[in-house]
Amino acid sequence: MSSFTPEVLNAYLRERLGTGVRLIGLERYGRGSSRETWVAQLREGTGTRKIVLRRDPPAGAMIPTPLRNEYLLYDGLGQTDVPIAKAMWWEDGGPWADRPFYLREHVEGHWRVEGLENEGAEADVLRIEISKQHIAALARVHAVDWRALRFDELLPAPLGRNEAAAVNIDAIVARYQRARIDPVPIVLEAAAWLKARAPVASRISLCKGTNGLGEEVFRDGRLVALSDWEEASIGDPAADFAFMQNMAPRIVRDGHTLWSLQHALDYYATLTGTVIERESVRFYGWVRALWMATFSQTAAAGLHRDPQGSEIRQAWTATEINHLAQRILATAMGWLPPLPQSLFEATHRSIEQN
Amino acid sequence: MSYPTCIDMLTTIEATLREKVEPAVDEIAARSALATIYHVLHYIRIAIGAEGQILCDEIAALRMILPRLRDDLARHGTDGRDLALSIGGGLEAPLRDQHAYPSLPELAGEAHLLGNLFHDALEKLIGQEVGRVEEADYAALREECRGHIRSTLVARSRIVDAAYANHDPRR
Repeated sequence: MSSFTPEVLNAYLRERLGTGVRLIGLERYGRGSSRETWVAQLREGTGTRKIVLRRDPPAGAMIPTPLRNEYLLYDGLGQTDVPIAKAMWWEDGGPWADRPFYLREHVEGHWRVEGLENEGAEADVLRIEISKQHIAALARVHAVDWRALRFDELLPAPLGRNEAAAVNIDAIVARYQRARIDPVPIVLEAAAWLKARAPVASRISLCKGTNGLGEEVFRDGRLVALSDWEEASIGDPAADFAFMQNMAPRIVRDGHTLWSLQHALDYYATLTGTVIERESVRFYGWVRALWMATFSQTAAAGLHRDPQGSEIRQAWTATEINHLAQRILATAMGWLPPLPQSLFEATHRSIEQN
Repeated sequence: MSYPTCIDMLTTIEATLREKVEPAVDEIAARSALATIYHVLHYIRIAIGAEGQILCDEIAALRMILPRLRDDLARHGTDGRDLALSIGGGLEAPLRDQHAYPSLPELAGEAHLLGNLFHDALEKLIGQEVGRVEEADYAALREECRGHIRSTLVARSRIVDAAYANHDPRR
């Protein structure tokens, strides 16, 4: 933890939580790559508990949105019925650390669901159940009163459904322009192309941004917390269905389609009364490629400016993810043929799945 | 020194990491970092061989299109004239010794500078679309810009597609 050593962290936690607390374990969560996530195990009296510490790497986060926004989202959503870890507090760094961080409660569970990757009809039933749980949780997110929580002070908010897409795209391009270290002119072309054919949003909602396997916490086959709010936005809820990472799988058995994106959208409509068109989901898949190109630039810039302090994943993001984002946009605009789906699936695979 | 080449040594680095370092590593974050390192090493091996020519081609293409963008900016609207001057300056500036074999950082620097001028010119051009959409010259120049972007992407695919063809876990 560089300057924030376990000894310093222990002293800090005792200052904050009382002298009855002792740090007995500290482990970096290896799966995420955009920010640092540490899980601290504490002994309190005769019991133990875990808390999560979150901060940007020394070279800066790969995600070009402020860490404090993420904390404020957790803090605000903790007051709603959205399943989420409760935020504890924010620190600017002060006497304890060389950069800001925040703490939140740890929700016991895992990003994997046992049996989800099995073959067979029983696993199909599980996959559909997990998909429904995830959609139900997203429905709660979309129902959040973001105005009452003042999230429009953190995130750009469209005035009406007609401008949801344009506000989203303009915000991404603005972040791209601030972040970029290399020119990526296809971002400019694609932004103009997308705005010219933007759908009208079904409603204006808080959207989570990154969804699905690897982003949420499950325990005993139940979704217990939505995690990873770095790409949150206010806009068309179709955006959340555009990046679901196996949470809306296509399941075909004995010639019957048991589940699919359309099934997921239909289920969402029964829960919310809101109909999301598949074309809108497809559109926001392209918008997400703009976002991928943007955070690839953040990764590249951080690595170029501080190669010693950067993460190796920044090198991967700045090359493969950067390129794939541009290929998605080129395909959307009809410039190049699509790449095989297997290539995109490979980018989500981690050693924990091997 | 001709041999071993950088590519030889990168291959040895990867093999050493796989055979001697990885078996000694238990911690998941470290093993995950190794998984990514293998891919990045492979990318570098491919890039060493291909990137020089790709950058040379990119620079040549930019030097062909930038004069047309410069001239168009100078003709249409006052806000493009400063950029037109910058493009002119960028095209005329001696960026590297033309008689010396260029290093990859030198080529990257030149492609970066000229690419930024192209990017900024395109941004201005897109901003003019509402008022110029009926102009044949405007449409032709926009199409030429798209062609340039497409060609650059296809060229860079030669590195990225080869480097990441292996579907092993990325992290």
